[in-house]
Amino acid sequence: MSARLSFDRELELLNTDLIKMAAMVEEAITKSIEALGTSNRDMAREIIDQDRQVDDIEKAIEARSLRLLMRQQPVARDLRAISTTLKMITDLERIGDQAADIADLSMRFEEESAMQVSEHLEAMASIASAMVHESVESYIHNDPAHAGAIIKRDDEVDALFVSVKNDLIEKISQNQDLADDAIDTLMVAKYLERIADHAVNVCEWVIFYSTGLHKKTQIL
Amino acid sequence: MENIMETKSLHLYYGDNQALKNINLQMRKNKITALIGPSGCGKSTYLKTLNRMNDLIEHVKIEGQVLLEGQDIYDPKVDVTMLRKRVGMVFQKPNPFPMSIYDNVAYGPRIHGIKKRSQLDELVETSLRGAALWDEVKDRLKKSAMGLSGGQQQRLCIARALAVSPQVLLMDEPTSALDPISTMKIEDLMVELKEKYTVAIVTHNMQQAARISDYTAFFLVGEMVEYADTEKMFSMPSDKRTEDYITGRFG
Repeated sequence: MSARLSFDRELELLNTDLIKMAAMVEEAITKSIEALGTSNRDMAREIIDQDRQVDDIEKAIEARSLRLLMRQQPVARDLRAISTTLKMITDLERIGDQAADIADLSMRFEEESAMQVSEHLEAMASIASAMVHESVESYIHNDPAHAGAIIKRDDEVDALFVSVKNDLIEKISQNQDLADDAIDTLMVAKYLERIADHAVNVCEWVIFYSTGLHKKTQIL
Repeated sequence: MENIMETKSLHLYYGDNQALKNINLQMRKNKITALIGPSGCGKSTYLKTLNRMNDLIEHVKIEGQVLLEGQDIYDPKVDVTMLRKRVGMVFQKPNPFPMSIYDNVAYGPRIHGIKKRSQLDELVETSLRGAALWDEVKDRLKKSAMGLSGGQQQRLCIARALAVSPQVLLMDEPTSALDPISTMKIEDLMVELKEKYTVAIVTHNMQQAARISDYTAFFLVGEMVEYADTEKMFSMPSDKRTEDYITGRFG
């Protein structure tokens, strides 16, 4: 096998692992949001356990990327592919952590679920989760235009965060006994807001891969 | 950014065979420009047009202009010896003269009329220091240059080129015959040299071009396909042929 061919195979394996990691993270968010709505504790624990697998695959991808940098000294498209991968796994790993954090918080609600505490939380969760899903799609299809469109949705998430906050202020002013749930709900909202930010980062690296531009500037 | 050398619409023919097609390239002063491309792409031929080394080959026809500080070096009034003093060259295989280390370096200055011993001594020392060789040879200047290692011989050739105070240094695969340590010394040296000189280097070693050059030109079958800032070239080349070549997807 030629050196170039075996390099191509390695890059393909890297890509497959990255997509696998992204799928695991997507599943974690979907389930954590479901746990929030249903207060399903078993599901919440399952998400927290599975986060370790996300960490493991991140380490494996990191090791493979560093090995390729060392052995192949990649340039041009190869360099962009590997550096994009290295940056993306950090964001995906954070998204996984935050999904686990949300799952952890979901177990604290007793009377009402978080979705009931704030009427805007569900919309926020669904956009944040869609942004992660779409950012991964834009990577798989190497579609910078799609990635650009997803980045714009971050404003909706930010606006919803303000709405959730207002819901919670209202709630506490009506009944101070709900303060505990309200604060937990605010934390959930903050995690969702961060998840959307990480999805934006993923999109920015998707754009870098095909254009060489990161946040509209030439890095190199 | 100041250009020291420039070629305009340069075409070169070996008989009926066109080796360079319409090369427009500007060489920035005090920068390293790397010329890359597969064997036979014209990069060495191009390098040789910059100090008229092709004059020695029969049936060569050159069209277009090669300008050194705005002056056409192919103008009949140009003194070729003076031109080669201003545009020095180092070759792939170290080619010291079969004489002492001292005489190798003093050769050029002597041709240009310097006879005074003290002046020559000083030039030899400065040139050898400039080529990062002085400390290794200062105690055996009268010994034959042929006794030096390959890497030392190549640095001696660089010192010999520096001794006549050139403005531009052309290097044709200067490290391809050297081991990694000697290669590293020459690369370090090139980066130091650009403070005072302008360097153009032909190299087959892509990592070398990426490591040391400021600008890179990619040649393919006699054409210059792409010229760019080296970092741009090796991260986001604009031509697919460049991309295929530097990533090893060629052919």
